[in-house]
Amino acid sequence: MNRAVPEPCTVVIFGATGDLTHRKLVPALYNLAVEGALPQSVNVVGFARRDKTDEIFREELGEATRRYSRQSVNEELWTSFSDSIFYHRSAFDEAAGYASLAKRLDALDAERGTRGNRLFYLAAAPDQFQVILENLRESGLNVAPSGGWARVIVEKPFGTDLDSARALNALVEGSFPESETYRIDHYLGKETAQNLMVLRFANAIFEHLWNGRYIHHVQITASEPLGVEGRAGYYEKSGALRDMVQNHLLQLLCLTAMEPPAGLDADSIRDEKVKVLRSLRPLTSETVRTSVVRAQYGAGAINGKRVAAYRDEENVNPESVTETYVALQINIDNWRWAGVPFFVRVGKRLPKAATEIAIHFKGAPPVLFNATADLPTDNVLVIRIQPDEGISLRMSAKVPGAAVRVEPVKMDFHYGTSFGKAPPEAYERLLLDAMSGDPTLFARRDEVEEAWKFIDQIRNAWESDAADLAVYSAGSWGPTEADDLLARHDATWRRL
Amino acid sequence: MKTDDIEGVGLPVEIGKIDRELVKLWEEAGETKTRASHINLVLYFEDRTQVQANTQLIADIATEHACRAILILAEPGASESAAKAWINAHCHLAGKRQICSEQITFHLTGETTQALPSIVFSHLDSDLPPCLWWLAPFQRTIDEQLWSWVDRLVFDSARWEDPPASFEIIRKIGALGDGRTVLGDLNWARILETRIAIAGLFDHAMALEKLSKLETIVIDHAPGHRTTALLLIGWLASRLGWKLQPLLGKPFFLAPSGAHVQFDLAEKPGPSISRCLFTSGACDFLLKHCNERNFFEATVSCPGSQEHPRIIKSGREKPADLLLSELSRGSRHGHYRHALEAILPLL
Repeated sequence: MNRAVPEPCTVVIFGATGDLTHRKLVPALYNLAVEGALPQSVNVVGFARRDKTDEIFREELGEATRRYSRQSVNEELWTSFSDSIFYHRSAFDEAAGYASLAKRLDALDAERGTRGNRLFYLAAAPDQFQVILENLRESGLNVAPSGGWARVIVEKPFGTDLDSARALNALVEGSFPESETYRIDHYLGKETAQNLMVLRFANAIFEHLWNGRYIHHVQITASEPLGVEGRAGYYEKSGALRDMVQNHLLQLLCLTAMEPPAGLDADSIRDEKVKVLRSLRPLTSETVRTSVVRAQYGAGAINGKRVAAYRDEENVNPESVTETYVALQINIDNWRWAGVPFFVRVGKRLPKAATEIAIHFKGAPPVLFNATADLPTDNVLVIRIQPDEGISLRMSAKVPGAAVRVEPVKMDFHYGTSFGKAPPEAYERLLLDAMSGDPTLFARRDEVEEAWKFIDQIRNAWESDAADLAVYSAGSWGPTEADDLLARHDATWRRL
Repeated sequence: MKTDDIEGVGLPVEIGKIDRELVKLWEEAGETKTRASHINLVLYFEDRTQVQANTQLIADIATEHACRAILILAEPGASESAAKAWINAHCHLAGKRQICSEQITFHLTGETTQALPSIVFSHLDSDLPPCLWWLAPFQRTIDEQLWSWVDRLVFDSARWEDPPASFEIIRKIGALGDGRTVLGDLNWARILETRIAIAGLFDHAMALEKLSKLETIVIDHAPGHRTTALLLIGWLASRLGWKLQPLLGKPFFLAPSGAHVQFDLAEKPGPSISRCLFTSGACDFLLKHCNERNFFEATVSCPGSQEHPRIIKSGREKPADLLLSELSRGSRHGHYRHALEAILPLL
């Protein structure tokens, strides 16, 4: 199965002076260029309000790429690549700026053979999406010149609730058809997330076990030691539930729980993911109280250094009730997953940076070797999304020696060592897919809306009862309430 | 030891980048070295002169128990608050490959010592059971989150300065998390061979009959090993159903038959337990450590029967051997708690 070849095109980045462009997008495009994955003709046009020349823009991006690229920068290659980078100064609400952009893109097409293909990347703040999309439509940039295509990549958050997500989708649809809309969730671009389907559907041994008959529960974790790191303005409004669960973690849950798709085309896969979201058991205020834990970090220590409580962070309301940690139990009411709880947790200021899916299989009967076992004997299949992407399987083994002593061991597969190279960054894959017209790893409109429908039930319950915010020490694995959530199912959170 | 000696324990690394540096270490090693691990072995100590000794101990352990070792030197009383880390690997040849265990060493001073749980949680090799060897006095405040995470807690009751208080703490830790934590006292491992040898003294049918009629016990122990000797007596008491009598005057045990069992402990230089003498009627049962040699001589003297001295393997004394013995056990020490409970008022 070879991938589609990207066509010559111009990538226009709105919010070109922002963090995402510098840390992720341009280093990703550079790495693609180095690996020969880009077509000969690709232009990158940065669109932003600040005044600067192409040269200064290239210099700034050069510095950022040297700092953030996953591979060291070859100056000769960078110079050649940066020749295709341009800067277009305009405010987002300046119609003339879009008119001049259209002219400039036409000129670049003519000069550099990009055939009128345009990929508009909305890397700006979400409150700017409307004005950008409307101006793209007004200036006619949303329609490709004859023979070409015009696509838009929308960065998360895709709204802040179901209503705003619908409004945003309607807005995008007003300028670009769904088939040309790419909602990016970078978790889906990670190699291990993609490998989940290969693991499940290309190996005969797993799929038979992938159901409630053999699986006790599933844990999906996204933890990070970082705090809000200067994003308090955004985070205060979003919180962990909107920032992480609605998109990344529900996407991982869908990939874990979905049925085999009819084919590997984008819609077959996305249809199956939507079915999972539609099967999530609805939550009531009462079930939110018992199956969702929200918490906020207090003061503590990370890597031996004292760190402040969330409420003491800069630009955070000292009485904030924004959750920096969420743990929840999700039930999927379908044939395959009846009786199997999915436990999802996400948090800031936790001890380790790790994102993973852990399939906890039911234990062997408590007889023979398991009759008196002190250590865990259940098999756990772990799919590590980041860092150190890979898969491990915990099993019990006899410790060498005369005595029969059973201990857990793990079989471990690391992408880095097995394939001899680190997997590409998620943005590399996703940019390439968008250029190739493959939306498989992007969220479809109905996926986003179904996810919000589920998340809104929790938000609504929280808003009607603000009292249940637990506090955990920074550097710990979260509040004890989250441990209780699993204890009710005779389970414990994994020690990552 | 000077600070430089700590610095020499491995490659200095930024604490936030330890995992990345370890990955780099193994990638650079290529296929010549294989990283192996089946437990997380955490050593917590507060004596800076022990860094090199503990590193050597890990090297010894790693040949039999591949592990991720986390050494934590904590100096809570230091005026400066700092946290530093080093990484290194212990490799040994197994066939044509070198099998390696990794070691992360932390030096925490001042307030950073309070970050112990976060340091431990952040650097465990996931899915592998954590075993914590606590080489410092136990703190009275129990950090439940830390302790309930430990699968196996190792300690050495021979080192306890305040045995009753320490035992109380151990008892609380053992009860956390539905009593999941396995308690491993190296002092108990230390007397394993002695217990086997004592049991051997009473193997003979004639001797076994005398066991329930023991009258006196005399144990010679090394300075600092009174608890070791008491544990041995506690083991006998708990197995034979003896009850310690109120501590007015000289303590003694009351056997189920109503007979009194007297005991004496004597401090003598030498191995932790150098001599045990059991008297039952006219019979003496003697276990005596042979000086300079690693065995016991066991003798049974009864009127009318011939003495048959036997040579039996004696106990382990080196910390690495004791820890290996503990790590080689998969299950709980069923009799340990009972033994300890039996002599608790004597501690």
